[in-house]
Amino acid sequence: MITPDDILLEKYFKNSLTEEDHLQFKIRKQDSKFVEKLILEKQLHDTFNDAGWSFANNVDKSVIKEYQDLFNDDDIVKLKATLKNIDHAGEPLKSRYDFRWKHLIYAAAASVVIIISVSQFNGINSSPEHVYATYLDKNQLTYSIVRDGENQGSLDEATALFIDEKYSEAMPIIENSINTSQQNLPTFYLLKGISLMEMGSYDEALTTYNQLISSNFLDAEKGYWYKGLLYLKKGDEANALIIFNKIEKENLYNASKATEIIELLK
Amino acid sequence: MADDLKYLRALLTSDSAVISELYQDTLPKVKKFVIQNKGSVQDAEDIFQKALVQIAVRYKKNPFSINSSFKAFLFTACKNLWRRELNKSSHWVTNDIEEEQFYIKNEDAHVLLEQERLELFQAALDLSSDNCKSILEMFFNDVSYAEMVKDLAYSSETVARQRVFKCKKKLIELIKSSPRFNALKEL
Repeated sequence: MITPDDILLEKYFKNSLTEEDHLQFKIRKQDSKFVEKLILEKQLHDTFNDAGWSFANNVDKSVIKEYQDLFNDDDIVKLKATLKNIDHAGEPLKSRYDFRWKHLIYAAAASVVIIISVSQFNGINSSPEHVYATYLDKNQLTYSIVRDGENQGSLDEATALFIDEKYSEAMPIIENSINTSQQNLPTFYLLKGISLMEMGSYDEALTTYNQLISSNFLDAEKGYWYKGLLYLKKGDEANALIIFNKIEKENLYNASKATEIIELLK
Repeated sequence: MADDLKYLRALLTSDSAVISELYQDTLPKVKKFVIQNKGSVQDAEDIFQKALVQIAVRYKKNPFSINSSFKAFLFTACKNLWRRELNKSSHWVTNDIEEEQFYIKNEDAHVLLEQERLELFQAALDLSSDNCKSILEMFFNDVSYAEMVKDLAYSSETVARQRVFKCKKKLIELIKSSPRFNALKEL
């Protein structure tokens, strides 16, 4: 039999409480049995929702103290020291960050960088095409463009078309900018390369990246990163790995991401 | 010696040769999973170490056996820890500073308790009928009653809804009947 409390809780978890329900909910929260039911149902929702987690907010402190003491037990302290020294990849583990700080850093980064990601929580898929889509960050590229005032209009138009994936319309403006702009040449080479890559003109895109790599620009090494992505896009995993291994070994642009890709492709 | 016992004992004796096997075999899978779910190699290594320590503490507290293989058990522990990390930023929206400080100071213990609670809930769900299991998994993942009707061939949304309530009630009874429930429940 479905009780009024069941219906109230159902509405609460579906975010569909009416004003009248809210009042009723407030009244029912004064009943400890209802609160117990509410807490347990919330834990069930948080536990069984694939993307959720049920945190322990207010549990028996004596149980917590008992558990915490175990983490300071001699055997466990020794284990932690052993784990730190295990050479699992030919080198010692690097120093650890605190997760709390890491999340703040992630949050700050997320506010300025829109990462194009097609990964789902449980959707394990490491095909070269998937990895390419995950790691190609077109927005990041456009942030690095310096506005010089003179050709700002065409620049904005080109980047807007580029972001909108209207590559064939963006190309003439990008080509023109390569011929006229002094400030953003490496970025324009990359815009051109990516546009060609996205349109399927792989050979021309490769030529463009190679031009950048062989240039004297400080950003020349970025060419390797996009060249690696090009091979992924083509489904040429072997050549992609050669490029990403080079990036990792020589600590070139996006070396840590290259390491991640190598792991994904293993 | 059984596979799980070999690894569990290796953790308590800090047997680096046996533990290294886990690094060779399971860490790459954990890295792949974490990277594919918004994390980095470094995150994966952190999670992997945390999971090993957590398992060792649990075994020290109350020696247990593992139904599946140890490596599968370790991988699941890593997946859960990463799932928790992804949800961490949205936690602590309350103003209970004292409670929050206690939590942070004893975070390892809280994580352990959360993991045990998850396993208790999962074990109860596994005891449910296949039909209840399917419909509850859909319900807790916010699948609409209309979709349940379509996927599980119920005659109407009302029938599906009644089934959800019945299965949920049974699940809660199973959870509450566990001797571990009182130690793990919220006060």
